Amino acid sequence: MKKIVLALTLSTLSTGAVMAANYDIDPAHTYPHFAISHLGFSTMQGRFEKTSGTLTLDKAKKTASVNITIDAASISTAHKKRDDHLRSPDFLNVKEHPNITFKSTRVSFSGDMPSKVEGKLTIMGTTKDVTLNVIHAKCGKHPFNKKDVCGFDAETSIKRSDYGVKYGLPAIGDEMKLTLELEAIKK
Amino acid sequence: MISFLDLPEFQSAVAPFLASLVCALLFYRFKPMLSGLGLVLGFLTTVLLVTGLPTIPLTASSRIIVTTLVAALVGLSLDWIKLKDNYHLGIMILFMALALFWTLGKILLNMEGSEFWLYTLGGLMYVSLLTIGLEKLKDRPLPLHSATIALASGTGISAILGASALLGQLSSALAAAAGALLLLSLLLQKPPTGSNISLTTAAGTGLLGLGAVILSSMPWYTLLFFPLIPLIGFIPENKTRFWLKSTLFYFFPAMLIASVAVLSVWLGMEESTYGY
Repeated sequence: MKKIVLALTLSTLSTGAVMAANYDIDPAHTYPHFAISHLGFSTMQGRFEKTSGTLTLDKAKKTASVNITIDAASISTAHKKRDDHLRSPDFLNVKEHPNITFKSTRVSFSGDMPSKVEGKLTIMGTTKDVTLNVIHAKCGKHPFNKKDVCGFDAETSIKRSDYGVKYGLPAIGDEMKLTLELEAIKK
Repeated sequence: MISFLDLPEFQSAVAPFLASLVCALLFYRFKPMLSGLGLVLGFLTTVLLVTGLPTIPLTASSRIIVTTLVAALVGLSLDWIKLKDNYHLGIMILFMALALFWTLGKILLNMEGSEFWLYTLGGLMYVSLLTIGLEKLKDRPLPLHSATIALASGTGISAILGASALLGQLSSALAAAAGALLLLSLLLQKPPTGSNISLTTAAGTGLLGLGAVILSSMPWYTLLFFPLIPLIGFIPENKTRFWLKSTLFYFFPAMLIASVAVLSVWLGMEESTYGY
């Protein structure tokens, strides 16, 4: 009897451990990008080329966490002079604040996939609470490398002035739409 | 809709010029010794328009702003105390060295090997040369203000071309404010002079220039030209010369050196477009 109970306990624990999966963010398929008003004429788009981080997902318990680190100097708007300006003390001040980070604090689920990720976004040394709305999520086996992959598209909106990025206001917009397309590979 | 308060020309030229002019005249009316504070008050006007007062946590740019404001008070204190020349200059150089480490030290300490030594020793030498050169001019309003205009406008334009409009605007504000003081020097019997001007200029233009090199993309060799500007003090004064001619004798050589510095940035640029 004791052996049966022990076996059942062990199998439950191992099942729980299998469901909680740890992933490394795939930098080649992760694209944080932003859109902001340029002098009121049009919306300027830009993205960050280098991202790293980790993701944890437990579908059974409906828990998850994500930690993302973005190399601020990897900003790209397809114009070198503008990119240099964005890296300067006028905007992201990358020499003093080389990383932009997001650490989740709470993840809400819809079905067995995340629908909303609340967390702390840090830009230029200033941390604020933000909520990422997950607009697409899928986990499965990669058809070529056969690895377990989870992918998400999420978006939010911030005011750059809240993070001390104030240069050029109001000509260059304050409201900034952030979008994150993320893929993570199971460890 | 952009108001005129948001226009860079107003923020970095018109506003600091007017603020400096009004403040210097007001101080001159009641306490001529303080009229040189027009320079730092013109600078402060631009700070308020462009970034607002610095807030915690202080960035390197914020620290440069704070240092420039404090430099005016330190310079004014030295003008008032009247120490022996060597002590006076020694305190100013010590202030600049401490200011360098307080504003840019965090970035310098992240550098490795020869890069650290080049920027640290080079930076120390740069701010020291500016301090010594400008201090030699402190009692001579025409070369002092001409040198300030040239240093500040040269640093400002070079910083803008080197991809930091903020640092460029702040330095340009010093040029505009000094322009007001130069104008007053031609009109007033006791023109604004003193270490409150020379130290503010050395701190503002020196640290903004170094900031543009270390924090942004201004080439380091641009800074080689600026310590030459105070050498206009060697042009002999001629009290019989018409005042406008005297001004031009100092102003044009100073601006010529500043122009060469700006040209060095322009020629090194990969793309010539701005205003993207």
